Amino acid sequence: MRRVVITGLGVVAPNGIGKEPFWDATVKGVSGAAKITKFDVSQMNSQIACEVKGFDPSAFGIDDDDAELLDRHVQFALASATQAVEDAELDVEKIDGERAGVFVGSTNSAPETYEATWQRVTNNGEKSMIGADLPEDFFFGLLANAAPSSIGIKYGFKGPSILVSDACSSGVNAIEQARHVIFDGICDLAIAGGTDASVTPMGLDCYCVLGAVSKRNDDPTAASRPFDLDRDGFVLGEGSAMVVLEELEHAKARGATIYAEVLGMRTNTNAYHMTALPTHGAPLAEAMVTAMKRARVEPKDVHYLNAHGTSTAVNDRHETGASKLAYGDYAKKIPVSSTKCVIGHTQGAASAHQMIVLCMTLRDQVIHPTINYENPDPECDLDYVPNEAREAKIDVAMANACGFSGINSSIVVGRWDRE
Amino acid sequence: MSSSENGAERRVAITGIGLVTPLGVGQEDNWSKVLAGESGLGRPSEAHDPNLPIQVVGEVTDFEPLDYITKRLIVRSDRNTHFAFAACQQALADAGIDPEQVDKTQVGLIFASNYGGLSTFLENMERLHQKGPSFVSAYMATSWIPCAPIGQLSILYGFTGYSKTLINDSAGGVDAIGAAYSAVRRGDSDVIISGGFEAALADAAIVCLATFADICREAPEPASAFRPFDSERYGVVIAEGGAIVMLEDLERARARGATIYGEIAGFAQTSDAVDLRRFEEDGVQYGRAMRLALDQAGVDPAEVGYVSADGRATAAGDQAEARAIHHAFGDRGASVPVTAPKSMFGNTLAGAGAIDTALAALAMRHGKIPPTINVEQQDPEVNLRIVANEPEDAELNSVLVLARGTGGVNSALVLKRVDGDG
Repeated sequence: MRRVVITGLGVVAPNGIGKEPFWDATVKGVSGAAKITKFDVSQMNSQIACEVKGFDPSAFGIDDDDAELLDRHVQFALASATQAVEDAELDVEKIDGERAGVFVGSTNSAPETYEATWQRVTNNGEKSMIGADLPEDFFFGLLANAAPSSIGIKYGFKGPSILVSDACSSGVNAIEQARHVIFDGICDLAIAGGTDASVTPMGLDCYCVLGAVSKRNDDPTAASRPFDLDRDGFVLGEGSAMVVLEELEHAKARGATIYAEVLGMRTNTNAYHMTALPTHGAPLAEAMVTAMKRARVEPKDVHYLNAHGTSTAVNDRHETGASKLAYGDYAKKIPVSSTKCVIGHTQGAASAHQMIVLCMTLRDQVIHPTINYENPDPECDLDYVPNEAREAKIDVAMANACGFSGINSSIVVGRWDRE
Repeated sequence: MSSSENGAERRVAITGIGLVTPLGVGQEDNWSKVLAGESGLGRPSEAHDPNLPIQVVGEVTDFEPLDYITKRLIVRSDRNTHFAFAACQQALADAGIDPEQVDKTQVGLIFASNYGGLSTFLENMERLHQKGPSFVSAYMATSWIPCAPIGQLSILYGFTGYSKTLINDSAGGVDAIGAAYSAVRRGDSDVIISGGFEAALADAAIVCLATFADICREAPEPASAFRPFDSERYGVVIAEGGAIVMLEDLERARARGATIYGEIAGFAQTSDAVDLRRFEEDGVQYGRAMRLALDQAGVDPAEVGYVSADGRATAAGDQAEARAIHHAFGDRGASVPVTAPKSMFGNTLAGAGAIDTALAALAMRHGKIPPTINVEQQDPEVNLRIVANEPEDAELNSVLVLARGTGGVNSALVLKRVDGDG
């Protein structure tokens, strides 16, 4: 049986670019949230976001033409993929490019490119798009699969390439697709993860009108507070995370450093509501149980759960309920933290950011805290690792993702050389 | 998970089809028009601004969403989701699957979509930037996301199985069916409703599509504007619509006495990795996708009944496709029947590969190869045996369905007759 491991990590996150800055900030509980200044939010009920700051495309080999053409989410994806390839110490000249694939998850393609251009050429809708002076090659700036294709072009990967759009489960579901092609012998390795850059007027406002985002505008870094009683919605984030997934023997043969082995995954749907969640959490619990079964681990073997944890009451209670169904008596013993407390909800990238967290947790044997946890919600009564990082022995860890449309995913990873 | 985690690999039958295309709604309407070589293309309808930069499109007309879904749901979802509802109803009925009688945990949905609920997005852009943030619809987010169709259909029917939304330009439809095939094969769900849909013909979207040189903007006669492999061609005619192909564990399908169109027996995908703007000129990676899919299916190129081609209707696109087919078919490159039924529908982007797969299933059942219309003077650089203008009778044991997407993605799917069925 082929085994699939993670050998490289790349991160563009609101609290740090690069795996070390991101992880250091996350363990210390440094939030990337701030007041939005790049567009007028005065009429919106949420005016904060976790934006990526100081992103320099040229640092990742993106030339001026591409920086002009490609949407921000594509540039983030290229940046995190570039880091992941370097982190994996992958010599792309030496690998078989026909056996290398790219799988990227994203929620909405190119909203910024479209929206900013539309605003400019129509003067915010005063004029028609017809006859407008659009940029040359604008179509390619809007191309929904530009992220995976651009990564494949950069590295000469000629295997499968696709964009997975499973709402907020997109990143981990892209990793799942990549894992299958490696498992089935089609590929030796793949770059996989997620990317999103939807901090735009529409990208934010479509959640404002749903009442889903936090209105704690006067205190941005305290706004994302998963599992805390005083939470009032998620904080919109942006960014990207990519991993190099590789077949174990292929990784060993080239002497790669192995972060983790992907042990088991499961994705399903709630069939309940586009945004609301069933309070019992049965489908998510089924995803968690099946992921454990496929990973051949028992609940007690899972040493850490990285939660979807959006900081909305409906999600946090749903996920707590599902964890109890899946883990039974062990649910209250497993440490649970949510990375969204420091990076907000990075949507299509969120579950890919979680994968980076799982790998760094296994490497450093430290669990990052859930910050802003001050007032426990009686309906959320698990160990959320409040406010302070914690050292622990961690061999196996799980991450959950739940997306609009009711898509659930659970993934179990572990140290590849564990007993 | 993968096959070896769940036990033996299963075979995957096609048991139902649903079609919403510029030619019509439903299998009978589409198939009879395909055999007659009719065109679904024309001038943009009166609802559009007369000054659009693209003057030839394939629109789905005579489509009434109320025939398929409630008014309440219509306003909460976009046109691409409406197409999916209509096609799904057809496919379930065609497959003889009663959604109330089936094990809902074992039914999943995998669709392709590039632009999601684009009309909803554009409409709300006007509201946001003209009127203000509070005027944006509360259903904007859930209509816009590309996975809205699978979300809405899973809710309507209660299906909780393995579900996914894939994006790969006009290869996405084949990729979605390929992913569904792989998932049923390894046992992630017993039944997966798969396909692709696109509804990207809003005026503001057409303006953006017109910035891509491969796309046809104008032609002397709209009905014959899409001319793959012909010397006088005008590029890709953009269209809307899509299709569903119901995939099912073959043993399960047999056990319930389902009528089986055939099976999906192979799927492969490769990338050119050359340039975002153009395909690999010599078609090596495209040809490799064909060989990989045929190898997985255990089908020799000599046995392939016909090749359903991507058919760009650009000189570079058609010629690269011809070279790729020659790479894969060797000596048979110039004699295997090749057709591009898209010449009748236009390129429905995420819907394209799904429509072609549905037609391939119908072709196997009826023993007829759909024609490529508008072939008057075949491009001499395209050394292929095109099924030109008229359908051909043929005993079809296998069909190779191809798709390419901008960005340089190549996909290939193999359909095979199942002995004793269909």
